[in-house]
Amino acid sequence: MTEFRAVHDGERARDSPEMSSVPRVCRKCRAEIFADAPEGLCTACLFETGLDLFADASVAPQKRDDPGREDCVVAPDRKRSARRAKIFADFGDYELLEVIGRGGQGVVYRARQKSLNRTVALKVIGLGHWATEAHLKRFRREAEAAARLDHPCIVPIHEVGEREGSCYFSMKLIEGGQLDEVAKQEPMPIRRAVELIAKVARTVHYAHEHGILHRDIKPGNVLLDRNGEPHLTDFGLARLVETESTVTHTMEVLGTPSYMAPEQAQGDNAAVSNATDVYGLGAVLYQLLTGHPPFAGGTTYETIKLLLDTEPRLPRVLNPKIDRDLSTICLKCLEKDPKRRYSSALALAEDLERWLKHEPILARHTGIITRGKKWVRRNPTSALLAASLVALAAAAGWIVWKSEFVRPPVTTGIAVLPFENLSDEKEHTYFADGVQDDILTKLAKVADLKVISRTSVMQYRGKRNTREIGDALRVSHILEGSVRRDRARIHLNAQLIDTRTDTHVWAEEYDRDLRQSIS
Amino acid sequence: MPADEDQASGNGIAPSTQNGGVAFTTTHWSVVLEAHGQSPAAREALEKLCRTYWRPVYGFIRRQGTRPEEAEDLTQGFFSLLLERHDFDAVRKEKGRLRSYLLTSLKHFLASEHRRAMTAKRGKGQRLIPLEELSANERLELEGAGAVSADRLYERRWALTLMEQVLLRLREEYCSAGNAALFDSLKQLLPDEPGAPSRAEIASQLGMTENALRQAFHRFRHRYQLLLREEISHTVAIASDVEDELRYLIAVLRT
Repeated sequence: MTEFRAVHDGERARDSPEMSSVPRVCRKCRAEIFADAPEGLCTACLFETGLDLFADASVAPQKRDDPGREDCVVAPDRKRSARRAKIFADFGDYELLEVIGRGGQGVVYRARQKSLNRTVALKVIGLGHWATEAHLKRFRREAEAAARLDHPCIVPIHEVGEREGSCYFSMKLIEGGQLDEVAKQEPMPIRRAVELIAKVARTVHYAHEHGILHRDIKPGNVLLDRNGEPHLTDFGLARLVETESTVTHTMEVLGTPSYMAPEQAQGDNAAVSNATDVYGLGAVLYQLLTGHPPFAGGTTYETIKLLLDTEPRLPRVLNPKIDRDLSTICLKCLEKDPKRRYSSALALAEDLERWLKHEPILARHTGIITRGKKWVRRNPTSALLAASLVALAAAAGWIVWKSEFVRPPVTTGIAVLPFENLSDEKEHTYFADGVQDDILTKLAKVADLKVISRTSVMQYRGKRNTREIGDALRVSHILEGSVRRDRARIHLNAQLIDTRTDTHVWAEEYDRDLRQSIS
Repeated sequence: MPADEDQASGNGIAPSTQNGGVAFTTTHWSVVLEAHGQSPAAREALEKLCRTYWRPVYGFIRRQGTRPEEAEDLTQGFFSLLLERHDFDAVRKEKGRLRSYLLTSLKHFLASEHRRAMTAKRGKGQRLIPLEELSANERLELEGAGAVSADRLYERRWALTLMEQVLLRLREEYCSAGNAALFDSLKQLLPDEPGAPSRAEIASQLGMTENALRQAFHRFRHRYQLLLREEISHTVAIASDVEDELRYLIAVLRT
């Protein structure tokens, strides 16, 4: 046996107690970099670099996925790693010079196309294991159609390639910057922003005329050349992640949903249309005008919730320099209902151009009724409760009022007893009390109607002898009821009782889903 | 596929001139398997492997909740038994991977009576494994309350150990040629991580032209890839399994 060494506790003194165990995460692959990783580098990425040697070796995926293999539990991740690594290893006609962009969709390289000796931008899209063959074929068809677009403001696609489930395409290299980066460095003058979006809108209209939707219009997809002219890129790329993928997958690849139309965020791909791109144009305009995207939550989920449930803040609130007409144009693009947006990107471009020429715009400012409807849509719970209470109070008030006049009572007036809480949770008692309170308030507004105060009726909580209560409070009628709240449903039961005869004059039930809008 | 394109292939063990240790022109593990661990070369190869890959074994034992002293005894005992028994029939079941074979054997060892017998031998001064090389960070991980299972820890330690071997060899090669600074600079480019110094910056620091640096990195990267492939090939029975093992190790670190 060769050299053996003893272990002594004293020898461990060389280990520094100051060494940290706080995990570091690789900025490229998000894998944890362990504190004692060799040379302090991301070991996973180092291994991946080693894969390049195998780029030309034949791979038998069915072998790797053999369920009998002990390591098959991580097969999807292995496949993903393999795809990412192999595609970087084989660039065929392209020599990669440097990374010029990186995002959820993949990596963009400045590359040299060897056969034509020209510099291009090469975008490599790592898709993950969920991309299917049918998916890729559809993307390829779409990308090839987009490649046929010939417009000075569309970044031309030279070649679309596919390798082991990943896609790459080469484009003309635009030496300038992304719109968001340029806007970040220096706030854009309002007129310049409008001119820019008008130009991009006309470009998008050109693509629509050729049957191509962009689907992912955002500041990062608008490149500015050295002359400041806009160039739209990534046409139809979002198509790649739609249909068979979930919304979550879409988010993973597309990144922020801040510029995404509601129909896309809901995963309703059938509803995606020209109006979806109009929304994107409006979202970019909103960003340029206000410095903020229309919706931005702390997380993707929060952003989507804001996008689906709320209206964007008025641009003029964020930037007082924006006039009413421009604000109207911008918000028309951001309507939740695609039918309420501009009918085409061209219509948007023309309205923006009217604004630039100080002509009257065609978009109409949202009226108070529309805003009211939107409020109801955004706050269905409050609206439902308010409507129920109004109906309840109106019905009770009318009946009491009628009975008072038809047959004058010995004692007149109404007492609203505390509503009984039939829900499982005790805290819903507060909710029941709130209902009683609201009814009292409504009834108190009925003229000539005597309403017993809440304080006086509270002592009768749980008591049911209405004749006695009527005598004690000297009222002709008592309204009593119960509330049962079960998660999203609310069940309200109310009875109006004539205390003199101890008979029901009127009774009603309300059973609603709180999530439903009553609009 | 030869283990190393830069070296002539052969079936024996050849002395290395680089680090005073032993270098192999064929894979350590295949030598062990071919001779069923019986030949001197096979024994030497197995010892070499044991001394290299003891960390995952020790980590697995510790993560089972074993105290450090007992874990050290068990680690030494396990490897002693491995070298004595030459029981490699189980390898076939483990697809010829040293990594899987060691883990399966270790689990059997820990569950068997051999454990007590082999552990008792430690008093005789037989120390195969240099346990004193455990780093503070390794100990922190082994003793920490993280949710990583013993199996996962074993595989992660395996991947880190393997990579450490590769970079150690690459560093030694560059240092022996007087290029330690070049190694320290170029290694940062290997993972292609955003935020790493650019080639232009490194070229400027080293007083090289960008073109010269590009060529130097190309050679560096290629050598690294060959060493990595060679190191992995030492742990698999069939050379064609190297790529598969490499992909598996990437997945281990990314899941």
